[in-house]
Amino acid sequence: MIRQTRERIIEALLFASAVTAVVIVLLIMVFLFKEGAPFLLKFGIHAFCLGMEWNPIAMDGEPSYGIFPMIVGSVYIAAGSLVLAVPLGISCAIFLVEIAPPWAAAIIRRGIELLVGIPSVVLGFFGLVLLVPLIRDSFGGFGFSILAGSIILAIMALPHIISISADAITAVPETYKQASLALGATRWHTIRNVILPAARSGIVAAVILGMGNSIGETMAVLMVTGNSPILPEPLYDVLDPVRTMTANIVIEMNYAAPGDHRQALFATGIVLFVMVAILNAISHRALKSRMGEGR
Amino acid sequence: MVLLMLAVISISLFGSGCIDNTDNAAETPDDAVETHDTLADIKLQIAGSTTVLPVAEECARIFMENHPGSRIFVSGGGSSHGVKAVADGTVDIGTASRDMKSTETEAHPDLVAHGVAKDGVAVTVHPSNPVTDLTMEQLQDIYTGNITNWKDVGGTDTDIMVVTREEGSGTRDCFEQAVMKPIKAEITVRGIIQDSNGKTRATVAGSAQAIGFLSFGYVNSDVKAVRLDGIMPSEQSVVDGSYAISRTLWMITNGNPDSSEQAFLDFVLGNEGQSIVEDVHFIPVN
Repeated sequence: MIRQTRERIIEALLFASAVTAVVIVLLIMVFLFKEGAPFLLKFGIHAFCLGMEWNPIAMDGEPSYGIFPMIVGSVYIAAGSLVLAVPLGISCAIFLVEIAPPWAAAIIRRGIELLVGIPSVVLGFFGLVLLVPLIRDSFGGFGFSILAGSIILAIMALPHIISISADAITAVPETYKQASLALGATRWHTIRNVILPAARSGIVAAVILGMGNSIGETMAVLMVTGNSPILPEPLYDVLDPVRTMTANIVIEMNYAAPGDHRQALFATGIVLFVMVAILNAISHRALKSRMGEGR
Repeated sequence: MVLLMLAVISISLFGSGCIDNTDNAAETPDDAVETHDTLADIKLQIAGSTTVLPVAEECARIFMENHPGSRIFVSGGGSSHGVKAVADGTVDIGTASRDMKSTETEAHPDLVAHGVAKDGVAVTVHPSNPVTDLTMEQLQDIYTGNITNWKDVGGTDTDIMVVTREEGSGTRDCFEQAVMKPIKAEITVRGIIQDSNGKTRATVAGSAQAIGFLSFGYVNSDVKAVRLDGIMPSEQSVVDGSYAISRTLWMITNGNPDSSEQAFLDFVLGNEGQSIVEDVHFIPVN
């Protein structure tokens, strides 16, 4: 009898812990939408997301709240970081799993773990004092740029991409590899034509998760991107400054007066939240399809 | 060892007694003296400008330390909120980092504003920049984006990197009121935006092309402050009003201050309060 009640209580406690995370996410969502949605509806989702001008405290005339340049900025910087980090990350993962002798793999894994431990502010500061002047002196422009943000983010995304792709590659059944080698394929052939295709969905998931992380990252990015709320001009100029959505929230939230300005920042949060949620959903899809394939 | 432990315990007991001074006020002889303190039962609510916040918070903290039992609550909300809240009677003292608008003084003629500190915003460039002097007009043209090359204002032939602060920043507000408002223009969106005086200074110090504005307390040898219309930014030129980009930080009461409000204002305007003003990078008025 007592044992049964105890069992029940423990079950209830475990259930409570399990739902806590879900409840927290729900509460954050409710709060975010409560604060930002009224403004979004009042100002118009279309006008907010596609508006080109951000000027919440107008010197003269009406304030304007358009975050399109920031959506572009976030996507741009995240994409740029992936362009830099994905080839490097996947190559590193292949080397780790397929080629490196155990002692080298151990050292590299340690190094990657250390990279995860570097606080983003430190990376941002490194970017501000080293990377920005370097870009200014070697490529021109002001140095505060999409390129600087992408490089910093690539450094941050690298460990995640490496570890998830390494897992995906490790999960490829040993028999595939042996069959390929037995057919006379070289090691590189095996990697390129057998292992990578088999691990493809896991690698795709790694890339999309990395993208989600990159879009959500804040501190390091806002220190090196210049935060100008405008589109780069011309659009492909990676040496122009941009502002990301996260930076918009962080730099203006401190002093934003309650009312439209503050709500507009929460609305920015909603847009960001939705984008990251979509990316996460896609990456889960990709991961799941890998599980199906493996069986 | 035992002695050490005893010492630790007694210190922690003593410490907790200090914090909990409302209950223990009459129990210990030391505190008994303090109960004669007429300022001990002061209760004040202060709200308003986030720029004045550090001054108000620090003054309130020291005041409460000096007069155990007194309670001063400080919160932000912005200058407009400060004026409105004190007019509505929700707070005892409202704070503002700008002069009261005519609409505000008309709607609430009873409000009395007390200047507690001054703030100046210096325009700074990289130390290697040959430009040492700008007119207000040149500064306006640079910040609206009409002038984009240093050679147009007497410098070398390089692009100007305009560094500015985020919307809502008190320093930006001060700059906009003095520089941009007379010509009803916005600061160029092509500027680099940094979100603190410290980062602005680091940015200007790190780029020979940069121009940026800083609250006075942050100007150091890493950057070079330029003269504006021939006037060097200094505490002196701000206090006598000759330097254009400055403002007064206000504490506002509804009618003449009552005794507890007066006591706090006296503290803020006294030696201790004014040295706090200096500590948080503003210019004392007394």
